[in-house]
Formats: sequence, C-alpha cells, structure tokens
Amino acid sequence: MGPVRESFIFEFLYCHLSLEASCSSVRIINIAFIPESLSWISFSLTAFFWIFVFVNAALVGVLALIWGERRLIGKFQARLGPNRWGPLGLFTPVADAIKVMFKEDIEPTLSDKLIYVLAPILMVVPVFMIFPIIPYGAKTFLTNISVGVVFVLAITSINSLSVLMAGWASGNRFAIIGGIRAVAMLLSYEIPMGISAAGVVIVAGSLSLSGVVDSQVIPNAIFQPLGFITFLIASTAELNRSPFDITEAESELVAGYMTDYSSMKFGLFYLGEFMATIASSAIIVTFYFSGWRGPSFIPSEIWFLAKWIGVIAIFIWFRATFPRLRIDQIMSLAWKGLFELSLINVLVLALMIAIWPDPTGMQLLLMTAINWIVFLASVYIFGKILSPNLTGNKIKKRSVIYGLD
Amino acid sequence: MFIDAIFYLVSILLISNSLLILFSKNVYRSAVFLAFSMLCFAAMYFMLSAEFIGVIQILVYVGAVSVLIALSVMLVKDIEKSTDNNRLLYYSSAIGLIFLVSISFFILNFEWNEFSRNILDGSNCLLSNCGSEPAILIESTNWLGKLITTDFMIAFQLSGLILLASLIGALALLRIRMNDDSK
Repeated sequence: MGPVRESFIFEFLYCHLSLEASCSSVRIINIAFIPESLSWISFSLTAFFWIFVFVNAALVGVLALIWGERRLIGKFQARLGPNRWGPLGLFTPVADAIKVMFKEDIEPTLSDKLIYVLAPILMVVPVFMIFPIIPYGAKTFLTNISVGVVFVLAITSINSLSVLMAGWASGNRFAIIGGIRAVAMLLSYEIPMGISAAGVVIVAGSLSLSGVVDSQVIPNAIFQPLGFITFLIASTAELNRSPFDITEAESELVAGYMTDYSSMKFGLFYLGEFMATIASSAIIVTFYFSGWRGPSFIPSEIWFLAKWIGVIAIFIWFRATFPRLRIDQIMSLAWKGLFELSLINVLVLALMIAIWPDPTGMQLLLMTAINWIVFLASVYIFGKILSPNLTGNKIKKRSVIYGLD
Repeated sequence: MFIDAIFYLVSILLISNSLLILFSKNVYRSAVFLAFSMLCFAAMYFMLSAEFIGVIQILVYVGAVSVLIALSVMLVKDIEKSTDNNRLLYYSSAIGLIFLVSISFFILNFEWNEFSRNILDGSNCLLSNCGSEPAILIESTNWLGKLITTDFMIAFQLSGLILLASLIGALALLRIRMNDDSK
C-alpha cells in the first residue's frame, strides 16, 4: 500500500479506520474497527473519501472563482459587478449553475453523437487529477509521485485532444476552425511551458513537487524571472484565457469549438476551463512562489492559499487588461519569442548549476543577479526583434511565409 | 486486492478500446479510441511502477501524437463509412497477429532476471543498495536517467538524431512546396 506512509492526511484517516499494528501511534482517538486482514477495505474507503473531498473542493473553488472573477473585472472596468443575489453577489454563480443545468440540451443533427458526448468529459476529468499531487502544506498533501512536474505537463496536454474532438464532432465549420486554431496554439505553447519547467527541475534536482518546494530558498519567481515569465505566459495560453482566447474569439468565431454545445455539456467546458485556471495557479505557486514555504508564525496552508489567490488574481488582471492577440501574433510569440527565451533560461541555469552544484547563500544571490541581467537583456533584445512582426506591418510577407495566400 | 481490481479494470478498458479501433467504421472514432487506449497504456505503466514512462506516454502519445492523427484523419475522404484503407482489416489483423506471436515468443524466452542483474550488478552500479528490487521500483526515474546517460548513451543520442533528421526533412519538404507556390 504505497501512499499510506508518505502522506500524512491519508495515513491519519487510514489509521482511524484500520486496526493495523503500525498505526496505533498515529491514532488520536481509538475508534478503528476494520481488521488488519481487510486492509484493502480501509484503503479504498480512505481513498474514496479523499477523492470525494478533492472533487467537491474543486467544484466549490470554481464557484468562488466565477464570483471573484466577475467582481474583480467589475472593479477593473469601473462598474459594480454582480451584487444582487446574496451578500456581495455571492450566490450569483449558484444561480448561474442552476440556469446552465436546466437549459435545453440540444444535439446537432450532423454531430457524431459519441464523440460529441465524450469531449466535454475529457476536458474536465484530467484536471481533477492535478489537485491530489499538489503539496498544500508542510504535511498536507495526498500523494507525492516522483515525477510530479512531468505529470502536471502531461495532464494539461490532454485538453488539446478534447478541444479537437469537440470541434470535429459538432459538425460545424466555426467549431472545426476554432478547434484547429486551439490545437495549433496549445501544441505550440506546450513547448516553452515544458522547457521553463525544465529550469525549475534543474534548480530543484528533483521531479517531485515536494522536492521543487524544498529546493526554493529564494522563490523561483525571483531566482529565475525569465523562466517565470515564459511559464506564466505559456500557461495563460494553455488555459485558453484572454489575451489568448483565440479559440472562442466571439467576434470572429461565434464561440469556437463550443458553438454547438448547450446546457450542461457547455457547462462542463466552462467548468473545465475554470478548474484548469485554479489548478494552474496552484502549480505556478508550487513552481515559482515556493509553495507552502513562508515565515512559520502563519500555518503553511494559509501561506499557500494566500499565494494561490494572488496568482489567480494575476490571471484575472491579465484578462481585464490585455487586448486579444491575432492568431499569427500568437504563433510568432510562441515560436520566435517564448521558445528561445525559455531555452536561454535553461542554458544559463544549467551552466550556473554546473559551476556551483551546491550553492551557498552568497552564490545564490550572485546567481539571482546573473539571472536578472540575462532576463532584462534578453527580453529587451527579443522585444526589439519581434516588435515589427507584432505590430502587423508585414502581413503580406508573412502570409506568404505561412502559405496562407 | 484493490490494486488487482484496478489492474483488471484497466486491462478490460485497454483491450476493448483496442478492438474498437479495429472494428469501428468511423475513422475519426478510431483515432479517438487510439488516444483512449494510449491513456490505458499509461495507467498500465503506472501500475508497473514505471511512472516516468507512463507520464511520457500521456505527454507524447495522448497530448501530441493522437492529436496529430486526429487532425490528419480530418483530411480523409469518407470519414463516416469505411474507406479503402479500412477494408484492409483482415490483412492488417493477420500481420498484427504475426507480430504479436513473435514478440510474445521473444518476451517469454528472454532471461529478464539475468538481464536486469547484468545491468544492475555491473560496473555502473550507482546506488549503494543496487541489485535489490525495491530500490529500483522506488527510484525508477533516477535509474532511467542514469542508464540513459551511461549504458544506453549511443541509442539515446541516435534517437535524438533521427528526430532531428525528421524535423529537418519536414521543413525541407515544406520549403520546396512553398517555393513552388510562390512561382
């Protein structure tokens, strides 16, 4: 039974159910009743309990995020935001959820029924798998799998398949164009995201998320700003959030791959995107804001929660501030900007770790200084190189390059 | 018991998805079932304590290869009914069966224990308690990295070279087509 000894919260519940001999020291109240020979029953009961807790916490988190996003964007746009239903408009997302559930469920005639139903499920289910592996506190985590960093990248890459399935199954041109655009964008942005994560792994010397948190004496956002910025931009694109919401750009593509979805199937897409935002923020906190670490007068879980809300606020701030990019701008940003920047970050970090394998305090500060110099210099240079491409003066030449004539 | 139940569940899912790839008339559905069976493969790897390979399986095959297959299937002439290639079911099943028989013959006759012992007890023994199985199961990712950069260095570099060659080849093909277009 692998995870029992590793995870405190799992072991705590397991030991209050099972009469296993090695458990007696963990128990606070002696209420265990399942004999040792039936340990698989207590194992599965514990597992199901925690799955239940995590899934429902994620759903409640989505409701909170919908509310917070609307309130904050209201503030950004100098209006009130939702404020009628419940105190401060707190029940608005509840009303919204009820409305979505009771809408009529329409299936287009030309759709491929099976894939049409499977696509929203494939969007939501993988995201649930990210939550259990994140260390929320010094002792609060469910599993600590040894390849956490790659696991996170792998799970977030599944949604491109779901988007493509949804686009094709709808049997609708807007949906297919939206789906293909989404896949082009998601596949491109996975690469800078993965390479930036490699920078985190190089510094940590470990692929597990606990190892990543333990390694951050200086938070990675300060230690490797280049990797942080590339990861933040790439994960915004992976989440299909504004300014990268080209897949569902209303003015161009109706609603992209979701055009033909209604009722709870649309609700599942909506849920998946918001849940991915929450999960992705938790990952950014773990990778770049030293996870649950902080001065010990406040519990580690509170530290994590505060940083988590802060990162989600950054995403909402992005959405309220930046105008939407065009598809060719998005692709050139991924391939001509972020890809090279993340490579430079990994190269510099690898060189420095090769020179100082076990850095002391002074050396860490020196490395941070070098990283900042590289960050400012390379962002300045790449800004200079890319800016004529991004302003759109060279459309004609570029459409020849992409074969779009 | 619990783990066994999950193992059989995943096996049933894997086999049924693989059969659905073969027998569904709709080519696009086959592509989707291929993606699902890749996910089941990843679950199998997880259960064999090969976490790294399982995760890479999801990242490469589900996240990228299946998507590319699904994209290219969209260009097929008649997606809904079977196409010419689809009608080669019996020939391809026969070839697959031959492949299955030969590979299971190899797996059953191979000295797996001796093979792993040779690798672990050789001069490149990097962990202090190497040779004992639990160390491998826990540190499988570590072991993979160490073996790739020592014993299987040439194979690793060669696979990188092949990938680079295919990348350059794809670019060159695109370049030729674009030059033709611009004339």
